[in-house]
Amino acid sequence: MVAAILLPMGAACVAILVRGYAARIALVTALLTAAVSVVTAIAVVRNGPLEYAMGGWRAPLGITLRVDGLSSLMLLLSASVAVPVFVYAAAHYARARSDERQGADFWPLALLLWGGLNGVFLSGDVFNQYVAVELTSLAAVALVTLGEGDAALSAALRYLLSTFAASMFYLLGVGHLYAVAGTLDIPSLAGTLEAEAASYSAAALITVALLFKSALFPLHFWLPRAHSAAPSQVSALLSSLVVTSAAYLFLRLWTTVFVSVAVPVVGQIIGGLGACAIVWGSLQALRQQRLKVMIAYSTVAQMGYLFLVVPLVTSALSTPGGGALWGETAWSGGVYHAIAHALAKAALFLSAGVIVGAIGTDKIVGISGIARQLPVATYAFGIASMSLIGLPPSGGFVAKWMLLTAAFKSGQWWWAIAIAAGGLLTAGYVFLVLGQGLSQASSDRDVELKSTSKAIEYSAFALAVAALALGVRVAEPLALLRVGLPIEMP
Amino acid sequence: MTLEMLFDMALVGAVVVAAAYAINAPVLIAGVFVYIVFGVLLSLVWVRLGAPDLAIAEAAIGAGITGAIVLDAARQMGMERRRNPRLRRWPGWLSWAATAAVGVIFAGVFLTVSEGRGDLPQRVQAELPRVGVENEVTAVLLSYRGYDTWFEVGVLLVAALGVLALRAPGESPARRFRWDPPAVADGAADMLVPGGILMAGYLLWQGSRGPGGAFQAGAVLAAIAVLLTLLGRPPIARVSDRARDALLVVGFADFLLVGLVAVTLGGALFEYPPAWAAPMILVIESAVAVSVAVTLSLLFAAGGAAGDASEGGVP
Repeated sequence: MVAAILLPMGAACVAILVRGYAARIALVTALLTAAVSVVTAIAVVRNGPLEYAMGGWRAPLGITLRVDGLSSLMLLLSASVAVPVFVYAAAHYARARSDERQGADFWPLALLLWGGLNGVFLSGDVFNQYVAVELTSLAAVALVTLGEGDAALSAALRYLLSTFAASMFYLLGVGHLYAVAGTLDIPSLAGTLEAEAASYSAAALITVALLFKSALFPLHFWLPRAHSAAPSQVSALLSSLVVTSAAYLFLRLWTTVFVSVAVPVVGQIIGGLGACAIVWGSLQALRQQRLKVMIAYSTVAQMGYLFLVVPLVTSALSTPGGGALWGETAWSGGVYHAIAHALAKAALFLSAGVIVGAIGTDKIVGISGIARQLPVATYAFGIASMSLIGLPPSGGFVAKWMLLTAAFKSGQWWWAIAIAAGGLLTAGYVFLVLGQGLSQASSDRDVELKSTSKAIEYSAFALAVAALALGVRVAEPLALLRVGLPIEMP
Repeated sequence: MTLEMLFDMALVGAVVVAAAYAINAPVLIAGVFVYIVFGVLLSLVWVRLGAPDLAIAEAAIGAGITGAIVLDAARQMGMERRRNPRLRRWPGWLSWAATAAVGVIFAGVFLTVSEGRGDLPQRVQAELPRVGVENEVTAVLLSYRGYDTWFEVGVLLVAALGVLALRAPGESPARRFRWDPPAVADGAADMLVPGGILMAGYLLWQGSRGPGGAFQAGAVLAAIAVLLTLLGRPPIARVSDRARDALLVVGFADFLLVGLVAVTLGGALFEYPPAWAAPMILVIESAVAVSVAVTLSLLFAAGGAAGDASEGGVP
């Protein structure tokens, strides 16, 4: 499991030294890392959660890496997104000679980003998580600057300032945790945190930091510009994996370290913000004229769903029997949504990249008739949209079904309104694009396409199919998720 | 009330005043200078808290290199005479009030947990013989939590890659200041450079026993590079792009390789066998010091606006 971190990191070093072979190195590494992720998942299913003591020092003196079902699923997710994105990027940079230098900068940063993400997913130590998040954030900012023109630079600067303000909050929170508990190891923290002032301040600081980094409304203001100004292969990584990694940390810490200080009211407030995010993000997406900005606002909306889990799970934890009744369903639904959204969103950004690259503009009105010229990319966009709306059979459908079930069983039916409204609004904005794409090309204008390649189109398609497949094979991912369930249900 | 306590209170007061003035200075460039003073005061705070390693790092990086970069940026943006626009508008006062409130709350919170909890400091001491170095800070950074430090070195690498990605096509990352430095400056540099290199080597070697280590040594080396850059002799321009990349990555890569060597010797990743720990840690620290130095000097040398790089100008 450690190899899932070491492989991308080591490959990044080699890619810096021999920039000419960077793409090939990255592709081989991607396949190897994906294999490691699969092997880890199999080991977790067979033997239960695994641990690895870094430097041979066990916690609390050293740092212990831990992989349970959730971490293992996240490893699989990062590999499932990274492999197609890397194929897309390799094909793109091989064709677009003008972007050659951008490619040389892209590969080391993308590999370091991946290594950092896997570091976040495997870490069992709150300070180590901070360091991994810092690495991930900085790599993400640097990748945004690879976008074109001043827009990308100013978006990257806003992103840098926002994400590092959040990092400072997180670090301060970690300081409070250490002061109060004398350890940084997550399982030890989970047992020792008592209801006192510094525990609450630690929880507040870390919560705000992670809500910032996962772009929960109203802390999302940095996201649409950063994710739309970046090159499409970067947007796909950021919108699917980077924000999800922050949300992962949030769920992880709220269900372990902060269980004893989690106040139900705060859970309701965070759920309320999630509902606002769904409505606001979707409405903004409907208003956009540009394809990539629309997809970026859709990320704001979709992150909202993840935070509907918070009120459901916190209420389950404080109700006898609530865990068995709806807590586990809500938890699984939230994680399933994160995975389905990540795959669908990467597919959307890659197919948008194909379309924008071919017609040379990302104005939504400009894509009319594109379905006939780029059928695979349009099809990928359509399938991914299906999962985003939550139509069966897709990962998005399964996730929303579980969330709806949990909302009704817990008696908190109001969340169901947000879930349903979000689905309708999502349908609205994706059909605006699809309708435009499927319409006849206007006759007064010749749509002249720049050529594209099969590998580029099919990498987007593969991601969309993966999002769909999550709706067909449900039992296996859920069984994996159940290994070492972090929520102890009363 | 003892004399030491008086000094501490004066120091804390000065830190707060310096921080407030740095943000609120009527002329922006004055804020930059006070920010550098703030860094020096903060390093004194670390001394008083009994953390000399942090004090050296804070003085060299927080006040020194960061100060030079911010000062340079302020100069390039023509801030010498620009007044601070934020002064006396209500959002400003509101943010001051909010900051003060948060500060008071945190101070109150910290008073509730004034004594150290847990037995980690004792454990760090108890296991020192198995680590192979005498300095606790080095033991934590390179052995107990070496994995964290490896990631931190990775963060530096990402920062350097980000800076390199920002430059215009074909542009060298090394700015050349075009001016005639006075002969005395050149002469002083000729004396300071060898001394600085010796100092860096000493800090590196000393790290296993007392305050010092890779980050401090790297910062001192970077300070020399900044000095030479200001005198129109940027060291980074002397190496090829490929060599520069190799120097940037050597800390991160070497750290990983030594960690993997530990695996081949039958341990976990970064688990150095006690007999070999001291030399292995020194190998890591030397490489990290090089990468820290090259990264920091790159951050300074590359810090020119696209047009500014060719013009240079008087620092």
